[in-house]
Amino acid sequence: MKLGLQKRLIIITTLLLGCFLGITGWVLDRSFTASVEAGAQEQLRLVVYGLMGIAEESGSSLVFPDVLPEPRLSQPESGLYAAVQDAQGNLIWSSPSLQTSDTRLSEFTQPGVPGSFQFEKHGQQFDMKYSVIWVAADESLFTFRVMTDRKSYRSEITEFRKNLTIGLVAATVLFILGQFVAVAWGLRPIRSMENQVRQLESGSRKRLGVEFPPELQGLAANLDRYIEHEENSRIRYKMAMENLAHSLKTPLAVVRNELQSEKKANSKLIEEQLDHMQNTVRYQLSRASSAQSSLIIGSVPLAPLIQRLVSAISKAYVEKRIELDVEVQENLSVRVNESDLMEILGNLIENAFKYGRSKIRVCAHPAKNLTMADDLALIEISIEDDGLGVKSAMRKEVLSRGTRADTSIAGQGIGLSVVADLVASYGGSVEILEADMGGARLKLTLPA
Amino acid sequence: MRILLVEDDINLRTQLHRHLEDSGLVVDTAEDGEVGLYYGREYDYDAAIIDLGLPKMDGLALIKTLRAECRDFPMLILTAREHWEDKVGGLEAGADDYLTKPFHMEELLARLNALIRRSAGFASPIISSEGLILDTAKKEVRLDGTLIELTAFEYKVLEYLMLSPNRVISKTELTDHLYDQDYDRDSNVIEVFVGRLRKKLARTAQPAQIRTVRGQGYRFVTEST
Repeated sequence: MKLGLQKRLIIITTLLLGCFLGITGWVLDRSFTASVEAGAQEQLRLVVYGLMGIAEESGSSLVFPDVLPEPRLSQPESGLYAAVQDAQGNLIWSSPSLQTSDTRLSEFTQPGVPGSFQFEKHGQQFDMKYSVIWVAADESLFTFRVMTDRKSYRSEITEFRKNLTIGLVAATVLFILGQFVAVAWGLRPIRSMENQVRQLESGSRKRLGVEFPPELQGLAANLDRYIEHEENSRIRYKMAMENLAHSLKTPLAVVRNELQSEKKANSKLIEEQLDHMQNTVRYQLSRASSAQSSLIIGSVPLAPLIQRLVSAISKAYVEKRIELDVEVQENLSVRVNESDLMEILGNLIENAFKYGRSKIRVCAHPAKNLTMADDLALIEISIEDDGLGVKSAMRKEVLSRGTRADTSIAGQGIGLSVVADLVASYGGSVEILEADMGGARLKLTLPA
Repeated sequence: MRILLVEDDINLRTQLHRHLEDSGLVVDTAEDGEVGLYYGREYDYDAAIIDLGLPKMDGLALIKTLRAECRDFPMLILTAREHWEDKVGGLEAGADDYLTKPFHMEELLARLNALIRRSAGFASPIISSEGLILDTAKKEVRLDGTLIELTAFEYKVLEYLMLSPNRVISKTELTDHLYDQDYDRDSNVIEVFVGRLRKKLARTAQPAQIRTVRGQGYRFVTEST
């Protein structure tokens, strides 16, 4: 089974949406973190400049006043620390905040390139280093270091990430909901086409409508054209068959009757041949017209059709005073072309009238099928009479008579073999059994 | 018995005409639906044989029209169309029976006889009254078990009278139904035939079953009256 259009659309858009939102989240997170770090660097740089501004030379060393440009440097545990080291890494000065804190200066490796800032991230801290050659202090090299706790920046980033996640999840949910709506709306014309095709099949609609979007309009129009073409050619074919039947049968009737009126020595032979021709014409014509049944098979309600047939046929057999017993469940229907169904049931019911003595029973009910699925449900129809029945040795032959013209028996009906062919063409079956009332029982199964 | 035959194929029409006449029926033929409608409206028939595929007016339309106008004589469809759709359609339109071409002449005659009998209210092909037995299938008459030799026309007269028991049947009606149109209506042939028929069916100590109703016609009397 192929994946449905709706599933395909939803899967692909969900995947795309996932990628898009993931990348968006990642990029936003990265840029926010970077901008936070940049802000921190800028702040640290300003503190460095501030410290450099208040430093005073004392021989080859530097001294700092008690009042510092950034008050946080003087507060204990403020999170902002500063220190100055000489070229060897000896601590020359440290801010009061550093002195009162557990925070230790990270290890001094070596001074950086003078005049350039060096930014490092150590565990809990941002560390900004600035090395400078102090001309007024005997051209000694000092390294200014300013550190700040990353904690406040972290919580800022965490807060941002939380908001970002909430925003993205909300967007995702909205997108997915929107997507269902979009898919449903976008596929609605296809649904409606599907429904209309189903109506075509069930016969409640003759053509597809015109209210389709441009993408489907062409398909719908083609389908309509195809149906029309198929219908027309079927009608033409049927007409041709009818005409052929007319032009063959009437002369056959004339010849036959002429032959009977003047019996000659060889008239029996000619009569046999006539019977032969007649059966061939009948059989092949009925086969040909039934083979031409429509592409689209609607379902035909069974009860009214059986009622029509029974009342029409009983009219022709009124003097047999047949006792009728019709038990057809209401609302049963079979998926067989209506005229074919008439052909099948008409032949069988007429046979019952013809061969039955006084009673006929017609019943229909859903077949109990143990193995098959519901969409292969069958309807079982039984037609019984109280006539002589069909000898079991003859049963097979009666159903296949006429399948080859040369096996047909003169003067014998070919109705049953036409029925058998028709039933088989719909995937049904027909069997001759013995009826409880004594005669033949024709058991028929047809697709529901 | 007067029959209307509506069939467009000239060969079949002439042939049927001949065969039907040979079996003692009076036949009017029509080659299309309109002529058929005209005859069906104008004359009183005992039965009609109608083809479905007719020029000018389709057989089904012809049957429907005649039935709508309360023409109630039995109608038999004789056609090459053997689809049940057509058969049921024909029977529903008002036909009483259906025969498809090609057919056996015997079957056509048997069905036609059955239709005529049925419309007269007789279910069995054998009509009997006080020991007089008329077999409409074999066209035989027996009186108290003995076969009575009748000419074809005598039989037709007796059959017509027996199919409408206790009804006064005028001489005109008898000629209409038993004779072709070119028959000289003024002649007293009917009286002669009825007279001969009475003589052949006469039994001692029993009144004649065919009674003359003065100035009106004849009546076949059954025991119930």
